[in-house]
Amino acid sequence: MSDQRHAAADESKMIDCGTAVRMLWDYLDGNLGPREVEAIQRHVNRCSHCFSHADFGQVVLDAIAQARQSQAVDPAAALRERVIARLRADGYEEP
Amino acid sequence: MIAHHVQFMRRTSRRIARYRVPVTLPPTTTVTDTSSSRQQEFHDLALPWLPDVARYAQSLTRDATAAEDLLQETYLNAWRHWHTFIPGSEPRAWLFTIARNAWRKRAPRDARMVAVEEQTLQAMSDAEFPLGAPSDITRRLASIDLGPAITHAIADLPESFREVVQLVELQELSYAEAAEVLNIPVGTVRSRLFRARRLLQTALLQHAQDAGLVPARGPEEQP
Repeated sequence: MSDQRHAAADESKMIDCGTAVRMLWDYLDGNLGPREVEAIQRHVNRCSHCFSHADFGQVVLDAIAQARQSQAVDPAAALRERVIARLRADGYEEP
Repeated sequence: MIAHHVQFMRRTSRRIARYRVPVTLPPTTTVTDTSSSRQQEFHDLALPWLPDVARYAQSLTRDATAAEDLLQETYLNAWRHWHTFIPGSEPRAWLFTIARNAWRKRAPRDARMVAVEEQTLQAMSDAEFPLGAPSDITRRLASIDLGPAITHAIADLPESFREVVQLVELQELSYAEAAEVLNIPVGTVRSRLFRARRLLQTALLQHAQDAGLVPARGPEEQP
C-alpha cells in the first residue's frame, strides 16, 4: 500500500472530539475493545484538547483510588464482636 | 501517552469485573436450613463482608452511631432471612440491598439528602463540565495528595450519585451488582457514575483553587 493510501486508511479510522469525549471514561476504565482503544489513542495522540481531557480524567480516577485505599481500613474488631453478640442473642452461634 | 497506556492496562483487569453478571442458581434451590449448616454458611458467606457492609452503612448514614445501628440491623435481618439467600449469588450485593432497604425504611425522607430529579442531576453535571484542564493544572493536581479532597467531594455529591460512586468506585461492585442493589437499570448506574466523576473533577479544581495551587479562571476563560 502506498503512503498516500496508508494515510487515507488512517484518516478513515479517526474519530472526532465529541466521540472521543463520550468514550473517554470507558477508555480510562478499560471497558473498550481493542479497535475502539486504538481509535481513541490515535485521536488523543493528535488532539491536545482531548489529551487534556484524558489526563484530567485519569487524575480524578487516581484520586478516587486513593479514597478507596484509605477507606479499606477494616473497622475495629470490637465492632464485629458487637454484631456477633447481637446475632448470638438471636440464636446464632459461631461455628 | 505512555502513562495512559500503563494506567489503561493496570485498570483493565479490575474494571472487567464490572461486567460480571452475578451467578445465580435456580430460585428453587435454597440454602440448607439445618441449624449447624445454616450457621456455618452464614459464618462463611455473610460475616466476611462485615467490613464492607460497615463502610457502606457509614456512607449511607454519614454518622458513626447510626452506621453501627444500621450494620447491626442489616446482619440481624440477614441472619433471620438467611433461608432466602440464593446459593451462588453474590452475598455482598445481597447484604448491601438489605442495608439500603433498612436505611430507606428507617430514615425519614427529609433526613436523607433531598431526592433530586434525574433531569436536574443531568443538568447539574452537564453545566459543570470541566473534563479537560490545562496540563499545568493537571500536573499540579497529580502531584498532591487528593485523598482527603476527593473523600469530601464524594460525601458532598447528591445522594443518587454518591451511592453509585460508593458501590462501584469504592466497593468495586460491578455495574450489574450495583444496579441490583439500587434497583435501577445498569445504564443508569453507568450514566450516574460518569456524571458523578464530572462533578468530582469540578470539586478537585475548586479544591486546587481554594488551596492556591492554581489561579481561579474567569468566566471568559472557562472551557
